[in-house]
Amino acid sequence: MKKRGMRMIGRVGALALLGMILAGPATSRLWALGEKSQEAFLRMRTVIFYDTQFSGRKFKVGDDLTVTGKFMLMPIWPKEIAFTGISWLNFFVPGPQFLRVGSWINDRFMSCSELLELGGTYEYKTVTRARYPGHWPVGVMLSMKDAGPLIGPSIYVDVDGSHEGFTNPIKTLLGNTINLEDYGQARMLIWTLVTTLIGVAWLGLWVSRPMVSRMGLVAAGRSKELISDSDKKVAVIFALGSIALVALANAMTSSQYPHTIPIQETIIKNQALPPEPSPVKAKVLDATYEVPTRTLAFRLEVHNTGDRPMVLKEFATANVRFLNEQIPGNTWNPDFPEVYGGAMKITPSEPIAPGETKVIEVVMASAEWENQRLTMYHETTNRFGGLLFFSDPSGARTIIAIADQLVIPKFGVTQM
Amino acid sequence: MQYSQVDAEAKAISRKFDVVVLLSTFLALTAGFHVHQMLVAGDWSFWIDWKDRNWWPIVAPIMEITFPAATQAVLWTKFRMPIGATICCLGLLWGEWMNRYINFNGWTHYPLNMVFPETFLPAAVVLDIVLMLTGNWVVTALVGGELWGWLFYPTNWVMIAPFHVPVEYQGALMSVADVINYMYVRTSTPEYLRIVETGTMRSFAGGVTGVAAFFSAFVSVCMYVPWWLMGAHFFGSTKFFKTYEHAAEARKY
Repeated sequence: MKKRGMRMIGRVGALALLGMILAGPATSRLWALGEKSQEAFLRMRTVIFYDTQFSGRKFKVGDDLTVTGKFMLMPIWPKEIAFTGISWLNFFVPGPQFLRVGSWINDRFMSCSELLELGGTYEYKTVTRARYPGHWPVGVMLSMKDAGPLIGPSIYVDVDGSHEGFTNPIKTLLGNTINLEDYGQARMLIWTLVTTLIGVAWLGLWVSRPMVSRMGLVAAGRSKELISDSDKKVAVIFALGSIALVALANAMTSSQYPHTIPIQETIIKNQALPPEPSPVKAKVLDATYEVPTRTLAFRLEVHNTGDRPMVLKEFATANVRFLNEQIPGNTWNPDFPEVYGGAMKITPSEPIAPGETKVIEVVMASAEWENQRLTMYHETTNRFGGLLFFSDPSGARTIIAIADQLVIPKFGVTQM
Repeated sequence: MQYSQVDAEAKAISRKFDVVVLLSTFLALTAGFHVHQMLVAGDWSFWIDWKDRNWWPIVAPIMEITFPAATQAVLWTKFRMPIGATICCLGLLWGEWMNRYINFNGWTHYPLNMVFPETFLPAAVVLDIVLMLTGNWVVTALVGGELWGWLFYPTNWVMIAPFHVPVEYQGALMSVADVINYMYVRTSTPEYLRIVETGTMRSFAGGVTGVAAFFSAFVSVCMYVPWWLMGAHFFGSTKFFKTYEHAAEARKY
């Protein structure tokens, strides 16, 4: 029995060791950031990112990576998720392997959270600088107060070079240039050391004496013998000395840093881009998800109020794009940061003529519904959302948000 | 064997036992106090841009007078060792530095100037000395607790003042700490999550720190009392039999 127990402990130990060995190299290589852990309705019906572009995939330490694109805060926000509008455009990367040099929403620098509008479309730009070499997943996301992080597209980038000698200089309003990589570090270390030495000295004074044997003397009512008058004198010196040192150091700090400001905190309102004229009106009539074939299909009533024929070019949701590949040139580009969902079949495939109203069927059969965990029949809310991209012959786009459509799953089996 | 030899051997064993007790106490306090501190005041300690002049000087001293009070209750009442607060705060600092240096800096590459911990050591030494000189835990709560709260911000201002120098960054006014927060990415820390001063103490004309320190000192006094009592009654309740007869009597039941 004992032998068996030992063997079991040995196996658990070996497994733990194997885990550590496998986890070791992973510190410079992260495999995923958990994007798919969020519920489907959250990813499909809150914020949809589009037109996202990363300026490259290979960098050297010190190079800039720029991410640009747009996002829409979906007009019918799921009631299960709070909408406060107080938002922060984040750049996600496992730790500060990249520095955020700047981020702008509608050309406004985002030094703090911004108040965004429901249904609004925003254009953003984020500039980051490679700081540590490695193979890193990077991407954008919008964090909203009370709603949490809402994740945008991401890619893997490779950074070569070395962090050795990397500096991050900025100029203060007092005119001096400082390196944020180690600014204030020496001062912090010295002060920590000085104050720690006071504590170590006080502790040393007492632990240099027998300790456990004191317990007996205290229990015997002889505790007064354990603290002498000279101990008290030393204690007074320690106490007054500590207070005097703090006071003196503060006086010196005040003269060294006469101009300081508190931590800054505010929220800025940022207006959405002005809405573009929309020559198309579209409404989803019904939608189904066929489980065995992994197919989302919906009927769409489209009314073309413009003077040019319109075609449905793309459906984008939760960072997955489905393209109508019957349109010449509308094919997948491997540089796109989103996930390729596959081809989208439109029936009838003819463009919607000016003034015409017709019902089209949109069918998207793709393993990505499962891979990206976008199958809503597992969830309490069976509604999907996304952006429909219509286009006229000149390429001018019209974007329609679907935000609240019920989906009926079809399981394809007779249940007992 | 001579008595002197026995005596020397007993003393040597006793010292070895002291070392074991002290070391295990130190490590247990390091672990316990550090976990407690991370749970109740973690972000204020982790990040330079959380070290504001309002919430940090309130939260940190109030939450961190706890273990020192309880440890003092044991080490003072049972050993007459006025080191309870100091050993706690040294343990905390040790644990914090291990975490910040190995994990935050070494593993995830945050610069040390962003993640260094605060120090309580001058206040801890003073708290121990107040207990030693007065020999009374109520007076220690009243006087030592006040000093604990008042000393916290000045002790740490020496380290954080450089990070409150103003900067104009991309057209916005920010402190150096704000710029560090902005540039060194934390995935899930939007600016609105920080619990920092929001300019709500309008009647005090910006003199926030004094008000915060006063309040912190007052609550530190209040916090000291239950934690001392907890230490004294739960962890320092070893009972001794005064005579062999008492012990024999107790065994009967």
